[in-house]
Amino acid sequence: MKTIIRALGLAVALSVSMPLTSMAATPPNVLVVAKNISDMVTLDPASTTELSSYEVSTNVYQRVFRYDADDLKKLVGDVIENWSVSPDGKDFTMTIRSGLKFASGNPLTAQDVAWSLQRAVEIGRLGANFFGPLGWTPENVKTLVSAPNPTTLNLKITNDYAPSLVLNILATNVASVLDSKTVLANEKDGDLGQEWLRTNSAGSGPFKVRGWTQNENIMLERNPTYSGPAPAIERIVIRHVPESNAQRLLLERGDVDIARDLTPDQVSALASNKQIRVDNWARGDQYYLGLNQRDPVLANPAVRQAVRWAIDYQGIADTLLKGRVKVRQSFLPAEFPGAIDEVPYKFDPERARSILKEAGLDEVAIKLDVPSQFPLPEIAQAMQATMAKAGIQLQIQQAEARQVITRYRAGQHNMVLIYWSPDYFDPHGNATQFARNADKPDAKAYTSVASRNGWNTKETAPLVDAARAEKDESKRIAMYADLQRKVMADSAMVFAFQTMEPIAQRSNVKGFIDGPNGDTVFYRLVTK
Amino acid sequence: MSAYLHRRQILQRLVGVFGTLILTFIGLTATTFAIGRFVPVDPVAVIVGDRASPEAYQKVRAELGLDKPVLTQYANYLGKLVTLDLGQSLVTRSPVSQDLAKVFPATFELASLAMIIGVMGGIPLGVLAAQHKGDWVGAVCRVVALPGYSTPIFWLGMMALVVFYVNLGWASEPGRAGIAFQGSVPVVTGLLTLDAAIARDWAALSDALFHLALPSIVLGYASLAYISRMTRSLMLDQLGQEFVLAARAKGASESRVIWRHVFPNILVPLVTVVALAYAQLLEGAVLTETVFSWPGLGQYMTTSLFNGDLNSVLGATVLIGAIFISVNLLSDILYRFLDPRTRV
Repeated sequence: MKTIIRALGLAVALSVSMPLTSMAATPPNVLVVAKNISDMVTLDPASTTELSSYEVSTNVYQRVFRYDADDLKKLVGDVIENWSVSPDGKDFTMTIRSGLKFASGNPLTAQDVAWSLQRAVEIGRLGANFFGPLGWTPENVKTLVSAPNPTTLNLKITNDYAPSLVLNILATNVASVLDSKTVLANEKDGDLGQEWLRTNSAGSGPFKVRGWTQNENIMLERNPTYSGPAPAIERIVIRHVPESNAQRLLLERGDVDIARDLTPDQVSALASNKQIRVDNWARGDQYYLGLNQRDPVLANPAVRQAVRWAIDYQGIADTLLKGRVKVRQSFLPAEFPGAIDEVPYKFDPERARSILKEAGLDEVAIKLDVPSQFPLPEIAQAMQATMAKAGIQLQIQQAEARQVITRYRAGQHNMVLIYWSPDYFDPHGNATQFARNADKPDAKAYTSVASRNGWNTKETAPLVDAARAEKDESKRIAMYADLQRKVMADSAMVFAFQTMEPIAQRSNVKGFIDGPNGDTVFYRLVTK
Repeated sequence: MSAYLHRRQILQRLVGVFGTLILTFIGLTATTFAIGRFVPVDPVAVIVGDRASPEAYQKVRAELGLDKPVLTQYANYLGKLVTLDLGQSLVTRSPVSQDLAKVFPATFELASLAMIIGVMGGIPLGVLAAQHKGDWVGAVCRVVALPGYSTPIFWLGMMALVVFYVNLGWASEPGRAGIAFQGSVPVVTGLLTLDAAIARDWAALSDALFHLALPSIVLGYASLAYISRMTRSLMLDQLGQEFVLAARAKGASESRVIWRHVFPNILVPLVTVVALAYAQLLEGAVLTETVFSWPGLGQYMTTSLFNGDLNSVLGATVLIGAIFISVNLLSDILYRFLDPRTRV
């Protein structure tokens, strides 16, 4: 026994006398990011739908066009030097920049661009969503998208799309330019290289994929053949850290340079730490309520109206979520082309109650589906409390996000609190989701958010189509303002918030760009 | 005659073991398969995203074989299982068996080290506590173990990180390897420590051990607490028996009484305790793996579950079933060595 006590004493003495280790630091040429990347499924730009993979694509591929890190509001040709369009707006002729090279050393030609676009349409995932509406199908895409010589790209569209809208679609991830030779060399059973591109990259962007280990990390390294200014950082390691508390500890210790998924409490706890800086970025994601019109209660215009007055927008944004969201009532995020900043609704429970009274309703009970993903349950509870004051009893049904989406997709919900992020940087994307129903409103198959909620768009759908085809850019933008007001005045979608993303980073880290969506998250300007 | 009997008994036993094995597997897969079908997550949407066109959606649904009747799907699954084909993961797109071969070593490494800590610490502590029942040494022993079974382990993990990693700087950051060593060691066994040793990369080995230390101590502490508690109560049962009194009356020293007379008697139940604790650790401690960003079986299963990746969940369940059955078999075999009465 004495020996044990002596040994214990020795151990304690030893450990106390050990000097505290100095703060860890990441190597100067490596940027280490802590992020939950469990959503990553594939890095193939033709199939990527997950945010984490989207961001990687943005940094390893050049696209036909792009909103670049230097000015997020300006559309520039990425591999395109100049372009022209025929008077009817259907034929685009584009010239490829000279001297571009892929990471493999292969020259980037118009054939690579045409092949990449054709490939996306043939695979049919994102290509079908984004390029399908232009009239491109697996059958006709080889004639509509062509490269007569190494520097010329010809695109023909068969539907009426405004040229600016076409260019915006060509600035999305699915318009990434792939090294056709490298991809085809790695093709397996005619899969157009899908299996290989799942974990590898074949681009000409500022970085290339060095390796991805599922649920561990993904590493990018500087691509020496990139035509733009070389990034200051040689390597980026995005570490999978699922727990946000662990992310905070890593950042405080200096073992990571950026933590991507901190909660508001963790962010405020870091406020006093001088070695850490928090930048807030406006994201394009919005939180809204979907009111299923197949439910007779929600189909009542008075209920749709009362709900809009029974949310404490400002209180949730400022007090509850401490600036993690900002109030946004139109269907376009702030700073999007054509977005209007009007906020006609505020919390007014008496008004909401009297709207219900006038319609002969005293109390209504509604089931609300909520994904158990921060900050949706928090928002739902706040809504439950304020709506009760107006006579609307919310019954919250919380479930894992994928479960809620599966129900929502099938139109089996009553009311749902959910997020939306725009597909691309053009008002048409959201307009077509929230103000247009391609099918009958009660169609089972997914066509748009409006259709999920069984919302009849016979008034707004023609306006969406007209805006889509309007070649006068300022007229087109003005048409979206009108659409936003109409959806805001009365519809099955009640927009409430836009998200703000705090990026907590070591104070020496500069130049990380966290734009509105995965298309605009850039590492190439980072210095540390 | 007796040799013949003996052989027959072994044969019967073998048949029994395999029968149980097959029945357990069928029950296990059927239940998991059924649950997977009823979980309201759409695996197709995981792949195509929730905005896909109906055509793209149907195409992938057919690719996954989800358009076939459930029983056909189950029969297909079992058919492949016989050849050890666990199907393809929806998320990683690689064979589930390959995925498991990647994540299981991480859990195995952590669990085994934790088990060693648990056994080496827990058994002496339990014996000591029993020996000193009622005095202050016994009380100290119990207090040492108390937080191990009364506190949630992920909280212990978090606190350990705050104290030993953030404040004192003695422990490594969460994760299996440091930034400089990510993917630097060629994979042979999947056990990072062993692979580093094989590659004679001593820096990588010490980095791997450094990263293993804190999570294995935390997990090991929890098993230590459990094992010491069980050891103590098993010991106390025996210490009250008459043969102990007889041994003491014969003038045997206290340590002889404890280690030669009493301890062998608790070995059989203790093996069961340790085996079950080890099997539980091998399942992958989901929360601990999350807190320590440990890319093991537990994390793989949770991610798969949330992504609606039915094949991976099923595959991992089958693996866990196999672990349980083999650990049970192993402890059965050990009984024979430890307890002469079980030998025929």
